[in-house]
Amino acid sequence: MDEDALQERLAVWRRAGVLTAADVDRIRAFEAGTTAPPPPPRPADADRRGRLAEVVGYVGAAFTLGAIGLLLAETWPDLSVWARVALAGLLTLTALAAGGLLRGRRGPAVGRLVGVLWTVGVVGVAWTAGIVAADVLAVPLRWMVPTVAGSAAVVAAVLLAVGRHVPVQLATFVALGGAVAGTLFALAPLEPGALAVGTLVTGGSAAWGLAGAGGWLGPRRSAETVGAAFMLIGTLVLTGTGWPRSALALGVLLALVVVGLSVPGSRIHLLYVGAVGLFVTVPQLVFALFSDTLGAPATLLTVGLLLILMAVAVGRLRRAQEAPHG
Amino acid sequence: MADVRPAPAPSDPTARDRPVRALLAVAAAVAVVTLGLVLRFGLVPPPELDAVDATTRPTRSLALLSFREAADGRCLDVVAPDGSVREVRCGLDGTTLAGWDERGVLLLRFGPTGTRLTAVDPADGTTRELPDVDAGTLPDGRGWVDSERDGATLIVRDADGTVLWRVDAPDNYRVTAVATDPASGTVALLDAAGRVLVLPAGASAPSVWVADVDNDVAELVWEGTPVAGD
Repeated sequence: MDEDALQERLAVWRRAGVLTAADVDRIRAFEAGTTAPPPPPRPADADRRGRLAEVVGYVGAAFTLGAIGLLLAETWPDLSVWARVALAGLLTLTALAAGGLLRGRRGPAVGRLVGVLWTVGVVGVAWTAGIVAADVLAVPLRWMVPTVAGSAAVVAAVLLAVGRHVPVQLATFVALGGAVAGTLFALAPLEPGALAVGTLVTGGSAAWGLAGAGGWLGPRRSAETVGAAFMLIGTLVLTGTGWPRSALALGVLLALVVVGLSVPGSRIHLLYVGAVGLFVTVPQLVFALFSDTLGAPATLLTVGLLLILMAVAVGRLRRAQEAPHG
Repeated sequence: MADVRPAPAPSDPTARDRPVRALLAVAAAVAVVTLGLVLRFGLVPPPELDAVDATTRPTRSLALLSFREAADGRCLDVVAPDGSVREVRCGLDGTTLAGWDERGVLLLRFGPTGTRLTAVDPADGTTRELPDVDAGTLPDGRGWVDSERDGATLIVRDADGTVLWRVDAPDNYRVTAVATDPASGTVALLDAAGRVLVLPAGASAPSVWVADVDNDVAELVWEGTPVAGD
């Protein structure tokens, strides 16, 4: 290949995204007989080292918190109510303030740390609210969940609006769900049954996933994953009603919808959630429909077909994700 | 989780992260419909039943043993025939109702040295041990409840499998305890709404004796119920 042809091919490969600009420079230097500049450290290696250090740091923090927890457990029964409130509030404010102070700094590891600190702060809000509700306000037991979860949900929602971190988003989901469910069930004449719980989990999670897909709850991927997963879990709760087959059929239908929604935009996380949902619900539905005689072979056949379909779908989505953008 | 926008260009990440109002509206609609469904079908009251009248009102009292949050332990209450509920004694942890005869309300107490029978005076709550009583078996009158669902229908059976009551009820409604009066055959039932119901022998539906005993889990025993093997 002569010099012009090489330059032309390099330009084509560069435009197609096959080579980076640095790759092109190194090839040109090599072909010219000069020493190519040393390749930069691969981002994956640097990222791996950074994550390892981060994990070690979190493990150390967990040990430290565990030690503080053990010390607190020793003295907790001897503390007055207000001392408990002050201690819980101080730890909560410390976590929230630390997250706030770190928020402006750059770097993905710092971003993750902010998310963890704020999530710890949300848990601390729930803890403090629980002490106040139980020991200061003597809130009745049935109103404890709405009180504690509602307090945590308000703080979590504000933090999620300020900075979109996955742990904060999960904390908001749990706290908001607990607050809504706790309030409804505190007002209910009977203890909540599978119909109420399953409907609330299914519909609430679907709404969460849709809001996340619309970009209102960010990060989008985690909101979609959590929403889809709990939506399918909700249909499993509905099997505890008097209509288990209908609940399983709904679960299969929603799992298929989730799988279908994974195709546009190559959302492979939705494919995984939908696939797990199908693997859980389809065999149960087949078994329920065909009873004991045909149940076992029909279930095996269904699982086998599902595995084949999933293998094809995952392969296609992966190829779609890895395809170079023109 | 459909994204109704056209796919953004990869070089424009901010466009991809831009919120989509249509999906927020759909999410809000799903949330509202969910709340409506839960309120309409999930949080429904227990079956409506008539109160006891002159023909169905019991002539004997009923003892209830249940956990009480305020007392942080198990308490013994007595329901009088007029439907009034009176707390007899608390602090009865580790016991179970065994009968009610002339010696008082009888409780089995499980301890490291074996099972003991304790009599509680229903008038003043005083207790005394009954060391010479064989307390090895459960009483005849304290039956267990067997309830199953067939769609929207709850079917309650006694220990022999006889259908006591068949009722259309929400999925979270259930009967948690039953006791049969050995003299009259009247069955007392405690339901998930904390109501004490009475079902006279031969009747197809119970009546409400006590509207709320502030507990939906308890043990029941009628006055005049002997301890089996006694």
